[in-house]
Amino acid sequence: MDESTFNALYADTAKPLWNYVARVSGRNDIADDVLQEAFFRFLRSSRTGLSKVEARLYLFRIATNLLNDIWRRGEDIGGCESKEAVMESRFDIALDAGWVLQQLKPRARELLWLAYVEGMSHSEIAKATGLNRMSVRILLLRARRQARAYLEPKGETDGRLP
Amino acid sequence: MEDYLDQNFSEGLRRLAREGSSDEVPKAAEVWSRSQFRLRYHSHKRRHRHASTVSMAMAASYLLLFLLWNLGPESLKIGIFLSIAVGVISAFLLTWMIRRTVRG
Repeated sequence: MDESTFNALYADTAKPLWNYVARVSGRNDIADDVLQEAFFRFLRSSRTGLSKVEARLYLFRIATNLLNDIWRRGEDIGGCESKEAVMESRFDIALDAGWVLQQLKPRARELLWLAYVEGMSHSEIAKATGLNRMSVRILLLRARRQARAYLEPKGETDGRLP
Repeated sequence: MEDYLDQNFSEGLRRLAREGSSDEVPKAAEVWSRSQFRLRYHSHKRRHRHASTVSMAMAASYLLLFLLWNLGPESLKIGIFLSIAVGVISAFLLTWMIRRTVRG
């Protein structure tokens, strides 16, 4: 792959990929490292001739695997800022969604981001995460339910959190 | 109610994604040059590993031929020439490898 082809692919995929890692991990420094490593592994692989759509899915797959490796190593990533602290100063829907995302398990965060922000179908999410389609459907359903429980006004969930 | 919460949540996430500035993302040129440097380093390491395997194989062949020459019948006297040739090549390769390692 030459530099101009790389630049075109980077322009299309780097920001969504960086956003995905930054929001799912809750840390920008991890997003920088994972982005660099994902593109390096992509260039090292023999798949540089993939179409743009396939290359994008492949890059998300690499980034997801790298994130899962970080969690498997037990590195403490993802914020646990209390909702009260967040809500004190800001009543913003985006920040609220960001807070809810951080309360969920890593796998749920990945799936919700890919589905809602990247607009991926179940089969695309399956390719990007290495799960099978049926698991994606079930896990996504569960993740949605968990996120909803955090968003429901107090009292409607009897004070229970997922 | 459920749909409303889902919609609100997905809209919130999309807004969160839009809010991120492009300046936060590393520049393409940086990622490209770092990757190229690492790719070159990896291919160098691969070649290096390959050279060491070849040298080991040559040294093993030399030992085998030497044993054949010493223990085998008269007809294997030709082994002496082969063992000297293999010995010279493996010595050359080992010297070259050591020189590269010391320089690197």
